[in-house]
Amino acid sequence: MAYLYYMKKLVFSIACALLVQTAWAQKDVLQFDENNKYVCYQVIEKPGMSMDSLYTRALQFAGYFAPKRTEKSKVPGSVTLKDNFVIYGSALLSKKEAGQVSYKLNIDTKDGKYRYNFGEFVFKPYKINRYGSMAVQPGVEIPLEKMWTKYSVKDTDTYLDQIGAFCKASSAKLVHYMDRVQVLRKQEEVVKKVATDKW
Amino acid sequence: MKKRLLLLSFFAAAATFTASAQDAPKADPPLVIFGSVDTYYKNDFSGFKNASGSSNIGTSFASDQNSISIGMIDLGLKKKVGKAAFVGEMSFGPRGQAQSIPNAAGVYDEGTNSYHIQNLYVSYDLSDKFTMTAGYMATFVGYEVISPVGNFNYSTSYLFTNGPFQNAGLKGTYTFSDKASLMAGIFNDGWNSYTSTNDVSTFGAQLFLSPAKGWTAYINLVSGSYSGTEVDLTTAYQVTDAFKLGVNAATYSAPHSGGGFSGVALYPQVAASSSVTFGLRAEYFKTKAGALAPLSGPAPGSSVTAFTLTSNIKAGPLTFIPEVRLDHMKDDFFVNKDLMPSKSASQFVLAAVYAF
Repeated sequence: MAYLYYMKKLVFSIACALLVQTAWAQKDVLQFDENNKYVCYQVIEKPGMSMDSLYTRALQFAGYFAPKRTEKSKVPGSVTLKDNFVIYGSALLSKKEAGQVSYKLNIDTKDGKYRYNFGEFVFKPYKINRYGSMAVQPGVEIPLEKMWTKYSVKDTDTYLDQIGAFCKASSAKLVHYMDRVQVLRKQEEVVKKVATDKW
Repeated sequence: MKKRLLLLSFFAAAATFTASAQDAPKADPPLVIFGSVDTYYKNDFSGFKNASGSSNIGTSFASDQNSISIGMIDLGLKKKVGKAAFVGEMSFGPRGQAQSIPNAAGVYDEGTNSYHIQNLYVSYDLSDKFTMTAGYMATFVGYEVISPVGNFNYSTSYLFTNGPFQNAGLKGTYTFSDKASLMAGIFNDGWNSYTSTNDVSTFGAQLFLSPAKGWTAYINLVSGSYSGTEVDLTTAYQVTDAFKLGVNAATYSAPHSGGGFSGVALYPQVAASSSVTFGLRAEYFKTKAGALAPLSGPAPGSSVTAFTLTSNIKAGPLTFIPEVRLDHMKDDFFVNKDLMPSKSASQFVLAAVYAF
């Protein structure tokens, strides 16, 4: 009987661990917007901060986060960048690149608040080439919302988890940057001058 | 017991934490293991089986008549740290040994080959756009490759069989944009050999263009006084999500003695679902008059037309490849079921390829 008691406890412990794992599924960071597209979106209040200050910080973040990938937005107070990152397959022995995910990040600022929106996720699967390198298959692009039509539930979940993890880590960096960074004004160069004729 | 349970719970939680931490994308994995395993059954409809166990159609691989045979196990390692990278890939089995590289005596002999290097090279990114690579590499010429993972059809074309498989050398690749790049390099005089016969005198170049989204084109040149000159165009266009069209055209001139070949192959492919794709390879291959006899194919001055209808049925990392092929020579070349000379030959292949 004591054996059964401990077995129950063991099963309960494993179930708890699995629940924790489920609760930490990174894909939960992703939501659907009004167009049924995956986004990672949040509005953050910054009372007392002007739009100009927030915009400057957002620009600096974009320059640090994805240099050369930032685009000029036509909307005042907005910063847009387009970039991509690599995600991996779910092999047990060795993680292999599964493909790259392109995305668009919008940061919009207003007086006292800003919002970020990771969206337009497109998966570009890799295929091993003749040189043993993983390379994009030209012309093969799968919007994130249609991943399940091309891949198994397990693979789709693996990819969504990684995309969620990327968004979570990137948005944390953004928030950290927006909170901490000092907007430094360019110091005017002081030229030391002395009037030698007045003494 | 309580302590054990606590310990177990701790390890479970720790494992979960570790798994979550690893979910974050990394710039490059520390070491990647990749490769494939393939096996096949082939039956030539004539029933003909020659002394070496193969049959009528003599292009590379899928050679054994009425036999469940093996291709190869291919094992590769690669790693990139900063700007420096290496790839080491070797294969064991008929496809990766005697069927794709001659031994020291220049003979394709199963008895003396033990393994084969597919790729062994190092590379260094001198800048974001310029990379230098040195070693023994899969050839940049042609549409098809040795690895079954890289091909749609399991049997191979005459253009592939008679072209280079691998080249050892030093090359530089400059990427102008994602739409254009240029590779140029010097390679050993002989193809498919780890070492040079005399010197490093073959010039190779590849111009890559992507004129439209989903369309890639490679214009290749490999030229040397020892191995001859081949000019090759390899292009593929993913026209829609479901339809892809590939084209390979090449002409080869052998050194000194004359001869060579020219040919063109079309590769239309239609995806019927996410796991089933059908594809046709339609090839015309002509040998030039001269002393050179092709490795496989019609005699000098003759030609062959070959149609291969293939399906790729994917089950996770495993791909089943059923294939029917019909080759028609200009002159008698094959034998029929009565062992009489014939211009035509046909075969069925069922292969299974597991990629990891």
